[in-house]
Amino acid sequence: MTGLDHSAARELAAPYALDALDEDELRAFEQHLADCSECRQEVDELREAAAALAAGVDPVEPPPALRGRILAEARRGGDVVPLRRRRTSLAPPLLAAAAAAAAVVAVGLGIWSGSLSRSLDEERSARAAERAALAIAAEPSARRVAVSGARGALYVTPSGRAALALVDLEPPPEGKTYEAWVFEGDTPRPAGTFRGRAAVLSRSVPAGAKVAVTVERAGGVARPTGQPVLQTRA
Amino acid sequence: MKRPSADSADEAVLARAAAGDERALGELYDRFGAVAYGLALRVLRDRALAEDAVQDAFIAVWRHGDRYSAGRGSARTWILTLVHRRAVDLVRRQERQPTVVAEPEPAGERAEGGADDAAVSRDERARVQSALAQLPDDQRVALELAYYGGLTQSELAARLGEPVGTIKSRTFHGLRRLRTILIAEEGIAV
Repeated sequence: MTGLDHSAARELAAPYALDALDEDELRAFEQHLADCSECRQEVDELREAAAALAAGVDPVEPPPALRGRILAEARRGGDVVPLRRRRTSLAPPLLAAAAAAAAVVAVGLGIWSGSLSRSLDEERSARAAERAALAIAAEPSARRVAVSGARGALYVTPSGRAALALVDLEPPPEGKTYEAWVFEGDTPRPAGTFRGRAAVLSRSVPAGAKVAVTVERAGGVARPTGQPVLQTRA
Repeated sequence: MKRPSADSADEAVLARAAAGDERALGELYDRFGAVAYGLALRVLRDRALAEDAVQDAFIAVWRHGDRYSAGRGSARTWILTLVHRRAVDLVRRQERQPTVVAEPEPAGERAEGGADDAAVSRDERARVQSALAQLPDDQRVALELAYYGGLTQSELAARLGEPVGTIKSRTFHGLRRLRTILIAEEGIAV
């Protein structure tokens, strides 16, 4: 679901602020948000109202141990190391687990979406995302397709699930994100944003389809605005 | 809400946490932990899951605090948004039983609200509850099922036996009206 027009998007702002959008609408709305300052402002206002609903709940003292667990987990990262650097330390064991994969690639972590509401999920689901990308790469039926423009590969299963695993991909500039595109004919369709070096595409990739990655503003856009940093044909 | 000096404003503490100050993270937790846990428990009705939601949210605050943008709302809103989002994600991952939204049986101690430095004062909580009570029933139910129950719009439509368009409209008007009431009554940062 793409190309949400403004009036259709407007009515999604309230459920979005309440975290109550269904998955397909959520994706479409976040794409719209990236381009629409009016809807962003609407969302910001409604989020304050939604947070007031949180303020209406009776506070409950959490178990005392929770504080220590949170601080310990924070500490495990040591000083604030840029996320991507810290993540590379996760790569070796995961790669070992994926040794069955046809090619060994240094896989960072795919991160989905730069939007606020999703930033949450990144840390915990990052491992899951990496595992998901590696799982696709490791499937015996997955084809490995070289990409041009970067070291790495696109892995595509017969059913069209696809993952990118890239080596030496520089992190996107501040305020930017990588966005993947799957072409339907000549039309690029958004297939998810990522900042790391492995990503499962959010759109299926039919055989022969062109896949490209561009640098876009954080949050992603509905149509590519720049030249592809890498591309391939499945 | 009393925020006596710029240094102790939530936003300033969040900025310190984002810069890697662990004590600032602890301070944010001390301010918002009980509200966060109460919220997560309301949505999840499970102590262990609620703890997970709070932990994940605060780790997200720690790691992604630099994404907070003061122009887009208060630090409190940002943090509670993260908590809520995480709680809803977790609740959707559970095999959900259709249940009515009811007060959960809080397993922890009720925090004593009302202190001046509490993240949400007892007054403010009462104002929110009274604002909710002023909404037309259909709007209030839509907001409560969505926000506290974690239902998506299509789930809500199925639950209430109404078209999705009706649900969207109720949600929109309900949240807008809630905001208007809260602003009209002042004292709450919306």
